[in-house]
Amino acid sequence: MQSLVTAPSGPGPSGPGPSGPGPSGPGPSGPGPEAGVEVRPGPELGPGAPLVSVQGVAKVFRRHGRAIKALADVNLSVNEGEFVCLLGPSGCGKSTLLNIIAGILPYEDGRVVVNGAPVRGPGPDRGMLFQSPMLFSWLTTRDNVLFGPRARHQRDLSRAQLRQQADVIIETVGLAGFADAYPHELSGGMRHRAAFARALINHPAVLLMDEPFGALDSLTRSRMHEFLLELWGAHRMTIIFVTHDIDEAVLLGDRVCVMGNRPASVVAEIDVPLGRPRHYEDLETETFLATKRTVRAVLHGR
Amino acid sequence: MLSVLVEDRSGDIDDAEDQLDFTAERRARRRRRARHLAMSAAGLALAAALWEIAALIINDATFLPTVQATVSTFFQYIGQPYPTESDPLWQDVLVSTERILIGFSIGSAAGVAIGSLMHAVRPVRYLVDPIIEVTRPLPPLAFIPLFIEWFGIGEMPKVVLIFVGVLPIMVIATLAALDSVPMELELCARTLGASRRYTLSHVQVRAAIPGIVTGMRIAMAGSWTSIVAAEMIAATSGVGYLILQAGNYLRTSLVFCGIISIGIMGLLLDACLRLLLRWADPARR
Repeated sequence: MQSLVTAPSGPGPSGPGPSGPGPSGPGPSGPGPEAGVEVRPGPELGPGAPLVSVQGVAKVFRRHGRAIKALADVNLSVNEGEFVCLLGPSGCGKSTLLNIIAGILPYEDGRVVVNGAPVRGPGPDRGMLFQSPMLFSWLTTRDNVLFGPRARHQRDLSRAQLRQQADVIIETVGLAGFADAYPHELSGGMRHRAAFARALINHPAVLLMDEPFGALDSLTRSRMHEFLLELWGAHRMTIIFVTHDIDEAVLLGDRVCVMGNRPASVVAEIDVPLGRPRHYEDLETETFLATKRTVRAVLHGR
Repeated sequence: MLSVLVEDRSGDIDDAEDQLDFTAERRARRRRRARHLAMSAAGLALAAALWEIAALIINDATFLPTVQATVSTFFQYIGQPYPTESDPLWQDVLVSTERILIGFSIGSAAGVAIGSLMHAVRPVRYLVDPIIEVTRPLPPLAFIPLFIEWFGIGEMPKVVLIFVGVLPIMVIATLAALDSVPMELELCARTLGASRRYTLSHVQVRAAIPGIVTGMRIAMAGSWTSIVAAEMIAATSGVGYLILQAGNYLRTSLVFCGIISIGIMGLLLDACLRLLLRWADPARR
């Protein structure tokens, strides 16, 4: 199997095929699987090595003496400033892959390199957002945000400077006026924003998001999508976003990486030809629907 | 309880999140608490009134003294020894409280230590768990004759009795509190750059504190039951001793004074723990 399959075996004429890129990145290749879908190359910031590179990673869980292969030969490259969605059915190993990149789960074979350094454990350069905001309930929003710098005994900034930095980030995520509120005094969406701010203050090279809005009601969810798109537009962060929701994946991502079942690997990558900035109205465009059809075909067609 | 309701509600009205005003919520919560406090005071006043009416109807000070008689006895014996060669009321209360605090402190510390160890080391958990499970349903009072045999009739058996009552409660509370800290919270701290040690002290232990303090409140309530019983069997001081003596001589109003003193001290110590709980868990403020 080639390291990066860009062409889904779904409907439509087979495109030029993944002849060029190799493991160095998604590259501009990729067929137009649906008539009328213009394939836009992914952003080409940072030439050379990708920011996040997962090569041939395998993961085996051992439970009660039985070995369960969760991941096999997973390959993924994410460039700087790219928004990549990992899409797949529940239990397919998307979260496992994310946890491996985060360094909170060991892996067997292969290599995981982030920002030129192999992943050996968790670190503030890889911000992680969980399905539940996981705020520290005994700390105010500001103290939650300052948790990282304090835990690392960051001394290059004075306390006042750190505090000011925290307040700026809190304002960025739209929580101005809630710096002194405790998590239980925030609404569900606000808690996610606070979790965002807490990760952002570390200036992570990549933000790993594990179905972060899965537990929210659909209204709050759409608000959080808008918020995330806006934030990404303003700061061009590198994001790997795990989801099982096709709409969410296509709306948010520059690229949708579809993961297949047991042992899972990235079976296809689909570039999303929607422009930026994106809005919720894009959900109704023909391009969106066409991309969605392609993704769905890949997801179910195997 | 109330704060739990408030939390649930704030989570549900996401679509109105821009209108959410947490300082107003706090003020409202404070007002509600003041109202509840007033209601509690009214409840106590009602109980006192019912007592007074019953005492007036019965009209037998040995069976049920009036509130006034009890209050005046309280003020008489607060500084006056009863029985004559013994200690005044305030000293009895102090002695009992001291016994409780010593046994409770040692029991809590040991319980937290054992519970933590059980949480951290699997074999210890499997080893200690059955011991706790077997001893937990035993009433501490069953040990009184044994402790008198082992430790005499001094302070030791009373303190040990409190310790024995507090220990299993604190072990279980600590273990449950540590177990219920979500693993993701720990992972979250680690991805934010916290070291293992920092995560242990600032996240895992910190997140378990409310559960541990709740365990302390339960253990404290049990302590008063134990100490009074112990003081009734083998003691020459303490509130239990006073109540027993007063009962033997049909000084019913003094019995009530002893009971009320226990109530007040119990309330006071629980208030301290509740203060601790409020510090530990902002959702209860």
